[in-house]
Amino acid sequence: MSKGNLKKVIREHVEKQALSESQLESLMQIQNPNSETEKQAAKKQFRWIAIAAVFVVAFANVFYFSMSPELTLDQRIGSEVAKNHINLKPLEIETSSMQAIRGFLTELDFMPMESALLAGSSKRLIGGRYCSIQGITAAQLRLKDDQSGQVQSLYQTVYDKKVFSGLPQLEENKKPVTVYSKGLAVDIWVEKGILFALTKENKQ
Amino acid sequence: MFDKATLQQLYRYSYSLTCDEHDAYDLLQTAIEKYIQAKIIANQPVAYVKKMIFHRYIDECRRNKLVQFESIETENQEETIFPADFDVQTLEELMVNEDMAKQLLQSLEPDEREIMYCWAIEGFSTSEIAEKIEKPKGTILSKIYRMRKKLLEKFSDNSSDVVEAGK
Repeated sequence: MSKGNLKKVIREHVEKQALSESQLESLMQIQNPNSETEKQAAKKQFRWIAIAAVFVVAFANVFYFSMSPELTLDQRIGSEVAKNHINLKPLEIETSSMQAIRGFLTELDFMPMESALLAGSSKRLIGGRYCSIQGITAAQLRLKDDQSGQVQSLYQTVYDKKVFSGLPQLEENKKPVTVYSKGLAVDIWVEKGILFALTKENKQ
Repeated sequence: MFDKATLQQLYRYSYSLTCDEHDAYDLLQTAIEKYIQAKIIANQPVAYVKKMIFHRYIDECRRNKLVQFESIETENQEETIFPADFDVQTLEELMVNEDMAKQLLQSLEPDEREIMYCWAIEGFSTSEIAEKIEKPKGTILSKIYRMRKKLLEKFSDNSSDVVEAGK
């Protein structure tokens, strides 16, 4: 074996040492963020993130629904009225006379009446039935607009301050409040101690 | 990310310390993994990984009790245990073959191996080595003197094996 000076021989000996191609590939893979190991780690991480996200969304929903204010009174009435109108249950009495309605719906705690807001309009009474608004017995009167042919529901119930406070009163020169529900517009107002709710086709 | 050439360079450094192919690879692999996992952003990544390799190697030697610990006193004394006229050149001029060089490397202490790497492979001067490994120049000279002595003693059975310059 040939000799050389120490420095040169050691350098040559060390420089002869080299990683094999497979060792190099393995080390390159370790460094590669897209390596299988990293991918698996990323998958695992993603799984945890997804689980965490589900919990966050669930918590947010619970938080949102628990913290968000309930529907306002007029929205609740509008929603109930719209739902009943869409169901359009059969009339218990078919008449164009308010007097006949009063004589038929005797279980009510109030006397159904015509509203000043509808006086002189083209809407014609065609009948009525019992129903309820917010758990209080009510009359559901059906009107038909002779000009448009549109059928509308006019709900009437006794005005209970404890239940219906805050709704506009005609006697106080307030205008009906309009809420929208299920594609319908519902006008709500209080008149002469009676709560009125009238469905209309939503023209918006 | 280290390219293949840099990985080879780091592997040779590991080999200079361990004098064993498998140990060198294990040492390098562990250092690279730790470097990547720790997401370290070093100004000089190669130097940083070399330091990681060296520290890990020292740790392993300690675990295996391969390192003879020297007291501070001994280390300080090293500065004085080489002749005043000692010339590092005399180490370079020793004539050896590859087997002898390998045996010499294996007989060195871990810190001596690092000095040998810096001197023979990196081509650093004693001052540069002292600066790099943060030890006094006298300590480096002392260790180099000791390495030369070790080499001469190791092959003293057959004086024709090692030829000193000018002899």
